[in-house]
Amino acid sequence: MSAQRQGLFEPPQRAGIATLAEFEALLASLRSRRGERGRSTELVHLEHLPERPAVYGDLATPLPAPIRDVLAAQGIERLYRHQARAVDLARAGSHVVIATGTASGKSLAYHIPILETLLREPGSVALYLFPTKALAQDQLRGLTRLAEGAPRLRRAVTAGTYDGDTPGHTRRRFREQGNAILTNPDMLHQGILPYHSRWSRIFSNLRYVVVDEVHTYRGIFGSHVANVLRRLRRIARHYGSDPRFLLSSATIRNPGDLAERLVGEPVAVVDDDGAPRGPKLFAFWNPRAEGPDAASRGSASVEAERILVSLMRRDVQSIVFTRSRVSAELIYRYARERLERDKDGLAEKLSPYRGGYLPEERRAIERRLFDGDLKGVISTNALELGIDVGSLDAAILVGFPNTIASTWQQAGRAGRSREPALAVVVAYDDPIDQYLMRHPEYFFSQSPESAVLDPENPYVLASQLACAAYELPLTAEDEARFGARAPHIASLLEEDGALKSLDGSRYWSSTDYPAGKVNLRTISDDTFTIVDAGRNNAVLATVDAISAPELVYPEAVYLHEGDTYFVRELDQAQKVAYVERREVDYYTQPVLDTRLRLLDQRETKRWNESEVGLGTADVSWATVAFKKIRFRSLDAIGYHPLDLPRQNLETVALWFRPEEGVRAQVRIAGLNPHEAMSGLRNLLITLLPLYAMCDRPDLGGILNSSNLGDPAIFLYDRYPGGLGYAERGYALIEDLMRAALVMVDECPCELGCPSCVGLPVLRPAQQQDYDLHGGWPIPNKEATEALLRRLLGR
Amino acid sequence: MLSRSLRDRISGFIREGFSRTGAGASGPATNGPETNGHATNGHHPPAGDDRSIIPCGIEEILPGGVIQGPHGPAFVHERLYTDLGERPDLVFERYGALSALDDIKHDEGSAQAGHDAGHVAAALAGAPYDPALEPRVVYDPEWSPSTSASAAPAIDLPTIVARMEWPERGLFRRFGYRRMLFLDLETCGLSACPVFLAGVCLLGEKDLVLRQIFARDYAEERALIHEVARLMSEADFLVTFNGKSFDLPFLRDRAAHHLMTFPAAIPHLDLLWLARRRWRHTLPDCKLKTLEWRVLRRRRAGDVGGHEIPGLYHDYVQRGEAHRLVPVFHHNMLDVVAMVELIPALFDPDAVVY
Repeated sequence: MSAQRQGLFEPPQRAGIATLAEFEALLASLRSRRGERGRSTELVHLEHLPERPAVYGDLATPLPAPIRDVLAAQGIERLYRHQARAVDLARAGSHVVIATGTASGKSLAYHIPILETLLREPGSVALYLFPTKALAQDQLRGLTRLAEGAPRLRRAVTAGTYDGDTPGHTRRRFREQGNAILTNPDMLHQGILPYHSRWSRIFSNLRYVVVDEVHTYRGIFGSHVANVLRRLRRIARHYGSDPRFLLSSATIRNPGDLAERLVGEPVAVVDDDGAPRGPKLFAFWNPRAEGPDAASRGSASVEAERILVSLMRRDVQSIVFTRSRVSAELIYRYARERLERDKDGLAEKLSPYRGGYLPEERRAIERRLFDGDLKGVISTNALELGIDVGSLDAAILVGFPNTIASTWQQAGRAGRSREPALAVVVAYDDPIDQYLMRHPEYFFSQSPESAVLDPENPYVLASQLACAAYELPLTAEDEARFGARAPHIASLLEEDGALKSLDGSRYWSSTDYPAGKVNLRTISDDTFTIVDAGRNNAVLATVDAISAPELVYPEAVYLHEGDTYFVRELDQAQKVAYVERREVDYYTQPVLDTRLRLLDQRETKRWNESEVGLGTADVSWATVAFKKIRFRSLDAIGYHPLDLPRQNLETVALWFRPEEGVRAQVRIAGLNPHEAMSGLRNLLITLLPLYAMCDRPDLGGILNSSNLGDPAIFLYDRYPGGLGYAERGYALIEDLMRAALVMVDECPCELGCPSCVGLPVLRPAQQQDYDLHGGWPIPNKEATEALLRRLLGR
Repeated sequence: MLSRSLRDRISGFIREGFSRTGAGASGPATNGPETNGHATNGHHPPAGDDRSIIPCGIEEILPGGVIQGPHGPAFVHERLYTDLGERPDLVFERYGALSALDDIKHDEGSAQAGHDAGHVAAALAGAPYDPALEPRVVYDPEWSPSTSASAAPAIDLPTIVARMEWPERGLFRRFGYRRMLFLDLETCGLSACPVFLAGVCLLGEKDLVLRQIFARDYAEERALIHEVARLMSEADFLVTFNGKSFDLPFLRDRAAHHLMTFPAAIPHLDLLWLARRRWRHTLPDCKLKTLEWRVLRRRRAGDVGGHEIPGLYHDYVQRGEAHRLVPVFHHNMLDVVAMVELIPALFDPDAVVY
């Protein structure tokens, strides 16, 4: 029943390509074409993903008439199996997590029981949590569209978003009248729970809490959010309610486990996806080696742009996913140039999309995409999460995203119920992408990653118990709900003077506002404004404070919707970048310098011919220069030093410093000790999260010799003050090293691969053009293995 | 970000393998005030001052009694308005050792006398005396108390009401003035935190009664709210300074927090709004401090700053340093008195602003 997708989420759309064979032919035509400078490109791998028919399910009891009506109005006569099961479970009072594919109608599955409750039990309330404000806005539109289908439903539902963008008077009215509140965990943490008495009506009547896109709640963020949800449940109990949790997740390995850790109670898993899927072609595309010695490959951006333009000309609605904002801008600019030559109006049907654009601009693009007015969009992963833009016909991924799960999620943006769809990954000339191009089977045999979080991390728990005690005094029973460690941590808070025991409860006893000091995410949500000095300082865009010095440094060329703006001034104090429109034939790339400086050596120990230590580290970074790069040719035409203040993170780091003799032995074996150390660093960043219960991006790793005189590996927590990950690694160094050796030993690859020595996870560089970067080489596996064998005496 | 000291404690906890047998590890303790306090609120005496502090309750310094309600006890301290006399600042110096302090004469030029009084109070509290903590009221030297009605104000409400021309007189006309309630709160912050002191003023048989209801710890907040609610339900209307925006919503929030019912709105005269209407164009602003100086012709010296108050209360709950909290009572009572004394000027068409 493609009617379901078409009716509710997707306007009717005709793809100009009717079969997978036609997609194949189109790719083949691009391949055989002799392009500029006599280059050809290569289609490395084609995977056919078969069609899957719809599977429907019936509800235990029928829906009330107004809900049946609105569904029918959307063209939905029956629910898919997973939707029906989720609704039944919710009605029966279970917590439910729905983990099915992209665009399988997960939102509908949680909207239905909520609408039914609001309709039947006036006064009841539902709270929705989304990881981003944009997603809440988008889901509000979906919910409103649904509720407006029937007068009784429209009267029963007062829905709205409540976040940092909500004006004061609206907030108050909404607190008094709303019954479907769409917000985010950060707002819940800082703006709602601490002020719960103002929300007493909401908490007294709270029936459902929706937690959307739970796969984003992992690592540090997830560990905090799990505690925020415990706080939420405690406050709800205080006011006499016990809401059911309805969660949704993209495809990950452990949705049920993740949901239970988040909620703190058993959660029923619904993952038998009944939504239909058309057949899909999954292609790996590797720009061909070029240059005199075929030493480097062509630009992935240029290849992606060629594929995009060809698809658009065939009336195939397409999305390009890029790793960075600058790539999205570049591909847009190139594609627009090419399409404008045709003068057929197709250039107008293409748009870039990324974080930093003003909310109203983003809404307009989403709308045009949804309506089918846009034929092509070039986006960062900002569109990876469930913003409802309908399903498209083709997805082009420029470079592999960081995870298998993300890759499937982005590829899943292409594919309607029945029509054939295309997903293409265009490889960068970097080691990981090239490895996957050589071993496509590696990608297709990997299951998606697990999402790990640790609500009982002592540092997270200390922060969160402080927030909880501020909200209501902690009883022994309360503390037990935060886990076995909570009473100990609470007693530490009391010893430190923040809590005070009275009559069997611990009260907040400090002038601090703890929620104000606890950031759920690893980076601050501070933003800079980019204003157009040529147009009375009209606001053009925003950028987060961490990225600002990498994007809008003085004399940078800031790309906005493919146009070039010259940065006149970056005012760090006022958090404003002044830019002006200037037509130039180049763009700029920041040259970053990251340093780790050890501030103190808290502890050290000897371990098998090496020193292991733990201390406070100052990790700092700055844009120290920038390069001017000519469009398309990628020729570097200038290098200019900059003098910008450094940004920094004070955290805890562990170091590992093998003795000179160990490194010498690696050298004597004809192997490179630096490669050995790099490989070990990468292994440790992959392994430590398993012991420390964090996400790989929660850790940083640096190899340097400036702190200790000898080369040493430093691993640090990417969170101010640290969260105990490095500490854990320090305590478990022997286990880590043994695991590292097993991992290298057992990996079937020959020279090293992303599963062993090859996968460093670095801070997502939003402002980097990966075409220029080249990535980090995969170190020689043998070198790392030799180092580990010597250390472990094997 | 967690404090360094807390991070060190947690780090130690991790190193001990999450097992510890320290106090409180099995749940919140039920002990009273402790003396081994740690620096948290920044208001404790400076480091290096190693004179030991003997904790004591506020009831050992300020005369008063304990009220018992359905939500438990709270402490009440009470004064008569006429007791304040011409120098309301001196009242608090009498507390603690009332008889002794009453005998001390306060000459205009003798600061020493006040200090002695303070020393006695502090000695009784078992704590070092800090003269800087002592609040004083300083009158405008060019202005003689005897020439102004508001210096030692005999609040002649009937006359005042008769002179009223503004709509608010309706409140007095409708209800009279016998059952009005002046109210001013001291809290741990601007919102979503405890209220610990409610200063009220009621008209008794012969005099104005200044009453302060105090939560000796966080657990007594409910009793405080209940008592204020009870007083409000017995009153005909409320008089506050900025109470429409702050004190009343704050109380409602706290009542909701404790799942307590709170009386429906009663008529409410907010002197800030009246003052703004009257003096917006004459005075730079209408803060209570400004009105005290420009209308009542006096200012406070050594008064505790509003931002220090929450920390002093937390420190009191944690360590029982009662003598450091006395200035907060003083501050609160002066706020209530200022409200009372502003009434004549606010409703006097001939009132002069300096």
